[in-house]
Amino acid sequence: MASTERADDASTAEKDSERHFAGAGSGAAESRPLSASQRHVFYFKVSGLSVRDELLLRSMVCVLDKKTHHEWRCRESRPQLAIVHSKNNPGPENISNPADSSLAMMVGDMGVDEGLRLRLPLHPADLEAKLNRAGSIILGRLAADEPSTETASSPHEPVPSHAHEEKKSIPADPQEPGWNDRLQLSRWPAAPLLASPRHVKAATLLLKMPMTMSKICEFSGLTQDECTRFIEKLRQNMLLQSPDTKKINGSILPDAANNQARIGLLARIRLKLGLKP
Amino acid sequence: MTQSAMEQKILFTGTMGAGKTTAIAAISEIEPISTDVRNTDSSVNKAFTTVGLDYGEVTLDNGEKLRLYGTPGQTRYEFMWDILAKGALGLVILIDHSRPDPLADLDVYLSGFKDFISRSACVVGIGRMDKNPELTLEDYSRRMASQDARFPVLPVDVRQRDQVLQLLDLLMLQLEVQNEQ
Repeated sequence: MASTERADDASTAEKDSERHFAGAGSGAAESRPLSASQRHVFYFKVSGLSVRDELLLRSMVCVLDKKTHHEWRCRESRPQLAIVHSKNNPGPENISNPADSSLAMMVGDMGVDEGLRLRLPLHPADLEAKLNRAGSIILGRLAADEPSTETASSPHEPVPSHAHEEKKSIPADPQEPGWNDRLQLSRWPAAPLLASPRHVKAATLLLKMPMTMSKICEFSGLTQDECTRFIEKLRQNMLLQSPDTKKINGSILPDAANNQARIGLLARIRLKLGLKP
Repeated sequence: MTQSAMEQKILFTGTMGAGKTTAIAAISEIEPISTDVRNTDSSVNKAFTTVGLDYGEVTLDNGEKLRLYGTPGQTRYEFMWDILAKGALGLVILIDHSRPDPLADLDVYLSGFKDFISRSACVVGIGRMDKNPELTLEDYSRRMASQDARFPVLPVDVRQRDQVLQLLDLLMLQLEVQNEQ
């Protein structure tokens, strides 16, 4: 699962204040300063580079940590960004380890400086710009409605995506096992994930108590496909947690006699205020 | 006492100047009754503020009244919160994002109404989001999660009736799903 973390508040605030945003080829939108709360931690891995280049690249990433929009940490397992030498990965059909990364950054001697391609020899300004661009793409993917099957940088770049694998774990059909498993949100999602009032309702339900996807659809008005995609995005953003059974069993619920009266009351309030059930 | 025989009310709370009076006025069918006095708190830019409570109401189709109460904003009136919350259907917390420490303001109301919101419904509306770009809804979301307060948190302009209604819609939804379990 793709993982993002919010950097430690104190340290990111410091980093934020020290950031200069030299630009270095990144677009205007990418150069906007991010607040500490908007800075995420992303993971990358390096493969196929010479020992010298790999060491240099990692060192540069550390040095650039004061300037990049997001914090980048090296990790071998399930990175969000794979930095790969072009000789090992010349095209989308020849991906060395597709399950490892959802986004690939090519490194090598290339004639055209486009997308997420890093030139050799490495240059800090180029690396900073490309990391910023990669961060934007990863964030965009997490928030996007569409399945993450393409990069924003270049259609020719390999797109090994573990999102495909995770999507299989979200049942899209009520007949599939798991459709009636209870899900719960750990906290309120970021605004880009809440594409419509129905998504807002679904998030409200998932926060209130553990819910099955069928119940979410019933109460929110989301279609099954929309619900499946929404849950997948929540999962990618690490917003799902183990169901808290206390939320069901510990709630003070009205007794059966009062239940009907309460349902009627809520319906009358909706009717009066013009709120659709 | 049965639910139907109880007074039906929704509570609005939040910081001074967050717009509780305005939110109630947006949906009340009567002119809201407020106990406003001239504001002497120079930290808040408003001429009058509520020192008692606000009151508005909506008449349901069976003649029953849905009462809308706004608590006084100042924490020195905290003793009234429990009294007002007793029997309420749900709570709307309104936070003025432009204040010096709106997250601390949120803490005050999450703590003050902790018992009530643990067994009922709650929604948080953040006003004047444009005034403080350093903080985002994510910050509120994380702050609430750290206190195990799992409610919707949305930007709101309480002058817009539809936005106030959206808060109430989410409040209703929580109550309805609670009834379903």
